[in-house]
Amino acid sequence: MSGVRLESLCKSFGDITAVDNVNLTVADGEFVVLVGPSGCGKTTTLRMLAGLEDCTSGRIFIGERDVTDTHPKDRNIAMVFQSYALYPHKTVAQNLGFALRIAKRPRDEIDRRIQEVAEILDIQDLLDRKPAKLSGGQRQRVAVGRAIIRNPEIFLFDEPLSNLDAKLRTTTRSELIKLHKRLNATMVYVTHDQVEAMTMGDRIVVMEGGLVQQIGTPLEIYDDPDNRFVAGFIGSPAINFLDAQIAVGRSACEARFAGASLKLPKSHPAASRADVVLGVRPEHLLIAPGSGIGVSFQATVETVEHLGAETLVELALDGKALTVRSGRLENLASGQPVEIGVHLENILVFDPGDGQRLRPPNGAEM
Amino acid sequence: MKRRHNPYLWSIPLALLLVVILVPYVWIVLASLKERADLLTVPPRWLFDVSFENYRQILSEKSFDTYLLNSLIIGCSSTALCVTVGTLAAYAFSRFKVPAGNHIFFYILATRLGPPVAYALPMYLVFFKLGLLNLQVGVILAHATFNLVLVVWMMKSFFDDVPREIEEAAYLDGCSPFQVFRMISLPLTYPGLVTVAIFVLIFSWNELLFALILSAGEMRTLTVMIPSLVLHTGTLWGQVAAASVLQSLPVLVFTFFIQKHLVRGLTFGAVKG
Repeated sequence: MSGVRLESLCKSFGDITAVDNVNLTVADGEFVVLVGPSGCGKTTTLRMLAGLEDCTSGRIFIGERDVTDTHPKDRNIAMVFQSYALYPHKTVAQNLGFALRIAKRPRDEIDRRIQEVAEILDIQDLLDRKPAKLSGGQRQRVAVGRAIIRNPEIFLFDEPLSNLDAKLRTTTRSELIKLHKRLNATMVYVTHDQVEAMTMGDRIVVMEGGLVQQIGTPLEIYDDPDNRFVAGFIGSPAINFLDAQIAVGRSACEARFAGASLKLPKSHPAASRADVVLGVRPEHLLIAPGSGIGVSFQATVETVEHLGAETLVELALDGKALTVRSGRLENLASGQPVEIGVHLENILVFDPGDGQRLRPPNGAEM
Repeated sequence: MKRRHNPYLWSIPLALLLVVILVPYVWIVLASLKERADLLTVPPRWLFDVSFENYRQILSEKSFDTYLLNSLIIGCSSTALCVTVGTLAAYAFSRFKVPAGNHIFFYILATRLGPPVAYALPMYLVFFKLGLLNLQVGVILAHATFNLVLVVWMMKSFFDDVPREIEEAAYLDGCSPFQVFRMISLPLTYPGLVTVAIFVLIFSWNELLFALILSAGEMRTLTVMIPSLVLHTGTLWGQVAAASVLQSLPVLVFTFFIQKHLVRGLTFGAVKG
């Protein structure tokens, strides 16, 4: 197995820049997820890594080998496509063994490997079937089997779960995680589903507009987003954003919103701005918090969704909607005024212009 | 309320068209079995003494076997040549960036935009200069050239329907571009390929103009042999009819057995699996 290194990778289609200066290092055996909305450049990045797309500039390394100009067949990469891309005219066994046949491996070795992989993926009964006779989940397994049979240096996955129903997606997701642990292989996985990204990746690369927005572990990305896009994209329900005005006093400044004010140290980058955007995760908004809370304000209950163990409450605040994720709440009614509280450390501050996170200076407290 | 269409209503225009197409053929078949005296009576005589004399004369006195062999050689060779070259070209047009590809693709079609007779004289002169007259290879080249457009245009659409991801998967499995073509794309377009080959074979088999101007004597095909039965002294209608029936028989039998395949090939790619 090997790691992957992308250096200043760019891809343009005419005037459109699909991938813009992507730098990424994937360690040997790491599971990295590229996540972002449609058109963010994640699939193009993956396809350049596979060699299916030429890069406009930049270099691609697999291990220490520069493969930028290497043909896909010589990169020793396996890829699972969104559509699975099984060979329709070949049986499952022939699909699995195709790469080994091309590599001119001995017949008995091919048969042995097919049996081994079929056993790992529990598809022994399907070996004589053609892809048209398989269900979506079975096709997905065969596609994974075709990837693992030849022990490639890198595994690439291009939204492999997007064609599965919700239940099967959850099952297959955990199977892929187990497979990664079992093979200890380097895997690069592309998805637009932030739940998949959070649950599967050792690290997540959030992309938007061809640019890498942030790279980090799932919890780093969730807890400490670099910008408003990352904060808004990762997390379900999505983070709440509140517009606030900055008022600077003698020793501190305040971010004021909805009749509440949030004290910030004067050294905070927000102090030099007239407005900021505050971000609060739904689970950090507390209903009827009692005393000792950092910031509190009044809002009105709009809707209440009981999910069993937890409750989602939509609040109206100055014409804007806020979502609260709370433990089970049974006595809330639509139109009811409630007091909402937030601990100071759970409030993220963003520049309203470029959306960049305005972090307090080192050591300073909010 | 949903209106129900009477299926028999739709059959009427179809039946009329079928009559227009089939009556001449039925006339030819009947004429081939008639004595000369029964042949040109007005109105046509439906009851007559069946005679195989026309067939006997065609098969034993007119070197039918030679012309049949010529037609077979020219049909099969031009089909093989045309399908091979055309399929490779179609794949290139479908999958690779061919310099001025759109123009070349259109120029291939242009070979069929004019009436064939417009190309006949220049082609005759070219083949004359190349010493290809009265050789089977000349007619083979002419037929292959004129049917190339059919192969390239149809096969390109079939290749376009093969999902690119399947080919990309093959590249990642270690295939070279030619291996992808041979082991993945070609088998996937096989129904279309067979259909195209059948059409090319039938077109070549039935082609008259170029076979007529590019070959003579023993090198003639069946289609050229039939007009030779029109003599200065009169037309041997019975033999013309018998030769026409004999010439059409292989195509009829062949088409009857592969009709399912033909339909499958023509609709191939319309619904992706």
